[in-house]
This record gives sequence, structure tokens and C-alpha cells, in this order.
Amino acid sequence: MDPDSRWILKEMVNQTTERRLLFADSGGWQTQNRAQWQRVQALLLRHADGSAVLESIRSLDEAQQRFVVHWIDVVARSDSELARVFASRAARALTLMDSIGVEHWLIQAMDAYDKRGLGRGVAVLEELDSFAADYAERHRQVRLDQQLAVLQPIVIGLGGRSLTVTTDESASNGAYTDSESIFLPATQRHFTDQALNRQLLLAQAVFLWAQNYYGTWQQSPLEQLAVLPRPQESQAIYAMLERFRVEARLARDLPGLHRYLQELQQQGGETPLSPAWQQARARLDRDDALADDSIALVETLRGEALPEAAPYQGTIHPERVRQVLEKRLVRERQQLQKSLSELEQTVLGRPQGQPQADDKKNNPGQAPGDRFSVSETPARAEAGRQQPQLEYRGRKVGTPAQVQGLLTSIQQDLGEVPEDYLAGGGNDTPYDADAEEARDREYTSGEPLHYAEGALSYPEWDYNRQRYRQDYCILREQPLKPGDPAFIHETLQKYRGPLKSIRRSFEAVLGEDRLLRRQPDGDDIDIDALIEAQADRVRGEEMDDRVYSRHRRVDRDIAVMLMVDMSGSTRGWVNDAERESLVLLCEALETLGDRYAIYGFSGRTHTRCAIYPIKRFDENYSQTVRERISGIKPQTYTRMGVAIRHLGGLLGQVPARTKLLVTLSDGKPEDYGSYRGRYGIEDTRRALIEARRSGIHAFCITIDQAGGDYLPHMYGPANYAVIDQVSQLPLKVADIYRRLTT
Amino acid sequence: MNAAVSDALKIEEYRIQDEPYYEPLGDEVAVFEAAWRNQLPVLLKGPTGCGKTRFMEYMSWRLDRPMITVSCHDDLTASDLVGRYLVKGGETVWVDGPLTRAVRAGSLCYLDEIVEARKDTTVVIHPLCDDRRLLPIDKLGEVVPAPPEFSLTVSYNPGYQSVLKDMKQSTRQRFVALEFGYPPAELEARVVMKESGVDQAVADRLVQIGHMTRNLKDNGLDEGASTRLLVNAGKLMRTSVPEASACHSAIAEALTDDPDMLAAIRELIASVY
Ligand SMILES: Nc1ncnc2c1ncn2[C@@H]1O[C@H](COP(=O)(O)OP(=O)(O)O)[C@@H](O)[C@H]1O
Ligand SMILES: [Mg+2]
Repeated sequence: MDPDSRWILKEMVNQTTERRLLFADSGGWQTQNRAQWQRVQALLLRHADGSAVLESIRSLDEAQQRFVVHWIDVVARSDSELARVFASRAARALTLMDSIGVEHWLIQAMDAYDKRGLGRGVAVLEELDSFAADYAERHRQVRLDQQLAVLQPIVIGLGGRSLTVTTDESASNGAYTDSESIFLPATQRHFTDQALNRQLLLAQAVFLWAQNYYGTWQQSPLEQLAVLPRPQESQAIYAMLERFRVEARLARDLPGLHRYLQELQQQGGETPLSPAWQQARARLDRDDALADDSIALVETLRGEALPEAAPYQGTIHPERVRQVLEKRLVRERQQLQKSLSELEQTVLGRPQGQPQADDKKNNPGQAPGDRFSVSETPARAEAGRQQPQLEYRGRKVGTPAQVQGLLTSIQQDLGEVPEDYLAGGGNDTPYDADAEEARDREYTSGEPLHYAEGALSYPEWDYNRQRYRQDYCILREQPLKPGDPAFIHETLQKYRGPLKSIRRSFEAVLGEDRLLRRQPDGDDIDIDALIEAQADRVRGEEMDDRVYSRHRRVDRDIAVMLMVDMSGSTRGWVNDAERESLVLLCEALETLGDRYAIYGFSGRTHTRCAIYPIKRFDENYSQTVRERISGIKPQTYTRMGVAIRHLGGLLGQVPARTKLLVTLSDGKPEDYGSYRGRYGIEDTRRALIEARRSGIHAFCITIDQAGGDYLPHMYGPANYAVIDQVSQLPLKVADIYRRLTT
Repeated sequence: MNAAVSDALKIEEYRIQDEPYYEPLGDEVAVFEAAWRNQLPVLLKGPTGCGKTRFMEYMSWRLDRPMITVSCHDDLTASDLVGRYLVKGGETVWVDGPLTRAVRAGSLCYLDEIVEARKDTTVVIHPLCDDRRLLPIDKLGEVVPAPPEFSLTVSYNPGYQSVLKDMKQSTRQRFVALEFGYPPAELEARVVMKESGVDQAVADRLVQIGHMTRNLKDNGLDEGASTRLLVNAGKLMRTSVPEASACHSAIAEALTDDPDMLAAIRELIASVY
């Protein structure tokens, strides 16, 4: 089936749905659709089993009858035999699947028919049972990637250390956490019901959040757990005890959540606890129960049958937690000390290593640790508000979000923020030389580093270290060779039609709801202006003629920076699509007279990142600019973070009320070597956060279907779009404008 | 501004009779009072709905000065603030704008969300923030000196785009800045109780939900729920809207239109009930 007829078929599916609704409660539908009904009857009765098939259709309820007859009629237009086979199985199909499933089944059959003839089409229809079984299976499971957009904010909203919801291989054997991420199975198919499976994914995520939040993975119990005899048994008992303790906390703090977990558990049916377990559970129900208490109870339960696991309970990997925790403790301690001394210098206005005069007098040699303290947090902090409060010389101080995050995380690991953590910086022990860095060097070995003049340096975010690598990226602006001017002309010819509607939709979108006052002419009289002008006139002054109001775009005061991916991965049609859509977009933007700039980016490794100016803000859309657009060619790799930092900086200098950074890319932010995968994604995300902080709205438009899953992570769920047609780019930009200006 | 305003109640003479309920967060009351006595303009920084307006009402009562509030928007012109000529019975009459009236009457003038105003509008406040404290009125050819009781306060939300970058450094440095944040949990619960009339347990849960949404700032939300939203939800509950749906309407829907985000917040709300 070619794309067009597939589309038509989809349309038909939609129409059927509508029709079903339309006729839902008007009786005697056969009379209304008499022609159709008669056609179908005639068709079926031509065959020996016709009346039996008709009977089976009449036994369906009215909506189903209409559905089946409609489809028989549709299929018969292609092939009457195929339609008969469908008719003979339709009633049964509807007992096996919902109507959407039946439609899928039928579409698959018609697809096979179109491509490979009647025999294949009929064969698909005859494989009804296996199709239905497959359909049931597919519609039972829930994919994690489709739930992430909801699960991730839930976990962050609940508070505490920001945990990343993700998946890995071992998660399919049981969800778990390493205290920085929550690993869930990529697909959840525990229950036969899809809704329950969705509920289960959510339950797993929040349960593992609760383990972290309520201290299952604090350093102290973790260390004790490591030295208990018979590790496997101990861990299993500990996991169960902690489940009971965490659930008791949930019952108090988040009763709704607790009920939710219980509902799921009851799906499995509960078996009563043994007396020893009952006792342990009662102990852990107490308000002040800690993970240490669970550790103490482990010995009392050896040899007892383990209570049945709850479906959301997952598994535990204490060893993985320990590894992550150890690194984190060192890292966060250093970060906190550094941040506190910065805070003291900048915000609290005290130069480093130079105590204030009064300080010297009163407290000679006082260490920062004596100056900073953390106010006592309630022993039992409620979910969502466990926030250690920083104090400076006994007074609460405004705490930057980053410091607050560190304090929260440290408290979550240690149960408190130890005093020596608050003792000031100066302790700038360098991190271990990094393997990635070494690898990067390898790639560039033999070639001199390009630190020469004209080069700019930018930091890069290293998510492994959770800090910036300062001055790590070396970037230079490089001229772009002009391309063939005929390309512009050809593009404009090719998209003559769409261009008209693009211009129109730009004007329409942007003209919306804006009232221009004090205009020399317009659709309406501006009463205020008229009165003033009249007043001037009465006083014998010159009357101002700007007394009209007009519905038009106003000083939107927008500046747009377009950042075009010129990496090697865009080679081929993506590059053509980029160039063509830029031409169309420029045409559209020109009619508006808004400020815009276009830059390409690419580069090989962090030492040679390149930016190619195509149109600077102060340049006109000249012939040179057009030729540069035509000259956009795939270069080397993608290092997106540094490009965002550089171009965001340029955009930041433009005095506009609304600043827009639009990335046009194939959606693959990876460079050579270490910038691949998560590292590149996190740096890009960080660069976007920086941009957003300086008042820039960032959007990404990709010409690639695969980009979907991490784009929301980088740009935020609402700030990216995928296009597959050149003429969609200007329309998307118009969309973004609309969102920003209304 | 239209002609009707000139006949309206003289706001510069109106004084707040009853003490407005205001729960101080720190020493802002003392600082504001000191700034007022020293004739220094004040800048209130903080997210929307965290009590800046209420604070001004309270200070107006406390200092026993009338207050004129102007909510700035992007159509606000300099004439809207300073005043303009109107025609009345064939004659032209000058009508003072709110800022001029505040200066003449020596009242407190509060320009809410100054960021929103057009840049050419904010220029008129510059000479007032100067230590000469003058309001020039070009159309009248007049310069109005501000009496000692007059005080100018502006507010802005640093979470959004910052004007302070656009405002000249010399202007900015004449403001005494007060930072407003969300109150600590206990205090905020008290505000919610007093303002909406719900009981402690209900207010605690509302504050808990508020905190959850604030955790989501920059993680899908531009801004977490303000105290105002919590109060609104409380008010709905007092008029017998069930707690969860009150939260959904007054908090979740007010924060975002994104369906995934709404679903997430719905679950967060459900988690506390
Ligand atoms: N400290 C406070 N004391 C009393 N009420 C407060 C306080 N903070 C916030 N509120 C409540 O929140 C609402 C919104 O505060 P408002 O002053 O209008 O916010 P802003 O001016 O900062 O946008 C008030 O109407 C009041 O109900
Ligand atoms: Mg690429």
C-alpha cells in the first residue's frame, strides 16, 4: 500500500469512529444506510455460506454491526473475495479484540493484499487467532519510555535528591535504585491489564524514591549490611523489613500513595505474616524507626519464611549503591565546601582569606565551619519538605538552589550535615585524572592544540563529575564558503505554493490580538488618543493625528537565533532539508522585519569546535547570506553544548524582550569520543539550562524521527518538535512565536 | 485611563483602617520603615503570589500613609502614570496620573511588576529615584518635588526576565532591595489557614503540595505554586469542593497546560490524600 492510500485508510478509520458516534443512538440504522446494507447483503448472499455470515453479523450489537458492514463495504471496493473472508470472521474477531484491534487486523490484511495479492491478504485474515493473541500481548505491556514524561516529574516533585528515572538490563529482573537513578523495566507486563501495568510502573518508581528518601540507603545501615553473615539471606530480609518501614512512613506522610501501593498489592492476594515477622513489622511501624533498626532486626528473622514480595518492591543491589554513594560523598563534600566559600565571598560579601575586621577582633582564626551551620531539621521531615536550612552566623541566609540540593543530598546519605562539611573551601583537591580526558587526547595526539588567537574557550559540563570542566572547549568562528546561488531560486520555485501559505500563517499568527494604539490610521478610533488630541487642539496646540488603533503585530521585540547542525550526520537529505527550510524561513521572517541570525555549528573534539556565521543579527538577508545558506555543508561532528553557550552569549547581547534560540538539527548531539551518549546529552541540557537562566527560550526542531526520547530531557517536554517536511519548519517557528507572544 | 477616573474616589486620601494580616518573613518591616524614613526607594524581589502586595498594604497601614498601586503592563504609557489633558465641557483640564497624585499627596506608590512596563515608561521614575526626588511633567512644564512622606516601591520577579539588567546600574543602585521568598512551611501553613479558613491539617497538606510543585521549578514548571494558589485552593475547599479537585483546579491547572506535567501533578496531589 503506498503512503497515500495508507493515509486514506487511516482517514477512513477516523471517519468510521465518527460515524459510529454519529449514529450511536438513532435506531433503524439499516434504513438510514440502506444502500450500503443492501450492497453488503447482495455481496454475501452470492456465496453459499452467505446467510450464515449475515446471521452472525446480525447477532452483533448495533454499533458493531455498523462497524462491520461499513468495513465490508470498504474492502469490497478493492476485492469482493477479501471482503467476504473478512465478513465471515468479523463477528469472531470482535469477540477476540476491541474494534481498534480489528481495524489493525484488517489494515494489515489490506496492506498484504495491496503488495502481494489476494492470497496473502486472505492468509492474514485467516491468521486471526495469532493476530489477536499478539495484539493482546502488545496491548498489555506498558513501555517505560512512554511513561517517563510523567514519572520523572513525580519523582522530582516528591523531593529529596533528584533521582533520574531510567532503565538498564538488570532492571528487567527487578526494579532497583543505586541512590542516584531509579531503574525500571523497559516494558512492564506483570499484569494482564494494561492499566494495572501502568499503575505498577508508577508504584515501582515511587517506592524506590521512598527507599532513598526514608533512608534505606544511608551510609550507616549500608555499612552494617555489608558485614552481616550470609549476605544473600541478610539482604533479602533487610529488603523486606525496609519495605515495611518505608510503607509505614508513607502511610503517615503520603496516605494517598500508600493506599495506591496497597491496592496493587491486593491484586496479588495477601498471605498472613508469621508471628516473628508481625513483631518486626510492629517495631518498624513506630514513628522513630530507622533503617538501623531494620538492620538490628535481621538476626531475629533468620530461618523464618520470607513474606511474599509486593509487586512493586523490586530488588536491591547494595553493592551498586555503595559504589555510587562513596563517590558521591567525596564529590559532594568538595562541592559543598567550594560553594560555601563562594557564597561567603560573593553573596555575603567577604573576600576570600580575608576575615572582616570585626571578625578578627571578635573571633580570631575562626574557620568557616564556625560561621555556617545547618538549622536543626525536624527529626521526621515530611515528604516534599525535607529541606535543611543553611544559617550564617546564626542567621538564615538565602541558599542558592545548587547548595540546597547538596545539603539535601548529603543529609539523605548521612542523616545530617556534619559540621566538618560546613568548614570552608580551600580544599581544592583535584579530581582523579579522567580516563575520558586521556582518550580525548589520543584523538588529537600529534596535532597542536588550537589555542591560537581568535579562539574562544568555554566550559563544559561533565555529568560524571557533576561539575564543569573550565575552559575545556576551544571554539572559533569560521567563514563559510558561498554555495550555488541557483539553489535559492530553485527552492523558491519548488515551494512556491507552501510559501504563500507560510507567509499568510505568519502574518495571521503574529497579528493576533495585538492592539496598536496611537496610529496615524487604523480600523478603530483610539478614544484616549482622540481626547488628548482634542484637548491639545482646544488649548490651541497642534492636534496629534495619531488617533487610531489598529489590530496588528506590535513591537514583539523578538530576536531569534537559529543554530544549524552542520555535523557529518546530517549528510544527505537532512542537509538538503535544512537548507531548503532555512530559505523558506528567511522569506517568512523577512516579511516581519524581526531580528534574526543564523549560525552553523560543528567541530571535531573539544579543542576544535567551529561556528559558521551565516547571517549575523546586523546583516541583511543579502545575496551573500543566501549563498552562505546554499553553502551549508555537513562538516565533522556535533558538540552542541559549546555552540549553545557561544550563540546564547551572542543572543544575550541583543537588546530584545523575547529571545529565542532555535536549534535545527538531526537530533544527535554526539561528538567524537567522549561526547557521545549521556555525556553529550547532559552537557547540552546544562547549556540549555544556562541559556534559560539568562532569559533565553530554547527550542529544538529536528529533522529526524529517532530523536524523540532524550529531546524532552534536554529541552523540556514542550520545547521540541520533529518535522518531516521542509515546509513545516517555518510553521513550527510561527507556532513557537505564537506561544511566546500571546 | 479614561475620564471616569478623575471623578472617582480620591485614592491618595484613602487610608487602610484595619490592620491587614501580614506574616513577616524576616526583618522586612524594619528595613522598609528605615528606607521610608531615609526617603529611599525600595525594590521588592520575589516570585508572584508570595505576599509582596500584602506587605505593601500592611506597611501602608503601619506607616499610616495612603497607597497607590499601579499594576504595570506592556501597554502602560508614561501618560498613564504621570497624567494627561482631558476635555471637559469644551475646556481642557489636566488630570494627574497615579504617580503624580502619589507624589503630590506624599503617599506610598507601588509599581507592581515593573518589568512588564515598556522601557520608555520606566524612564519617568528615574528622577524620582534620584536623591533630588523630583517628578518632571513635560506637558505642564512643571516639576513636582516629592515630599518626605512619599515613597516609591517597585516589584519584580527575578524568576522571569530581569529588568535590572536593562535598568541602568545607577538607577538600580538607588533601590533598597528586599527579597521575598516562599515562607517556611509552618509559617506558610499559618497564612493559608488564616487567609482561607481551613484547619491546620488541611493547610499542612496544601503546603506539602506547594513544596512538591516548587521542587519542579526548572524541571518542567517555570514556577512552583505560590502562597496565593494555596490560599485559593483552601478557599475552594471551604466552599465544599473536595480537596483533590480543589488542588487540581486552583494549583495544577494554574501552573501548566502540559498534559504530562498535569498528569504528574495530579499524582502528586493524589499522593497526599
Ligand atoms: N506573609 C504573608 N502574610 C499574609 N498573607 C500572605 C503572605 N504571603 C502571602 N500571603 C497570601 O498570598 C496572597 C498573595 O499575596 P500577594 O501579596 O498578592 O502576592 P504578590 O504581590 O507577591 O504577587 C495574599 O492575598 C495572601 O493571602
Ligand atoms: Mg550530528
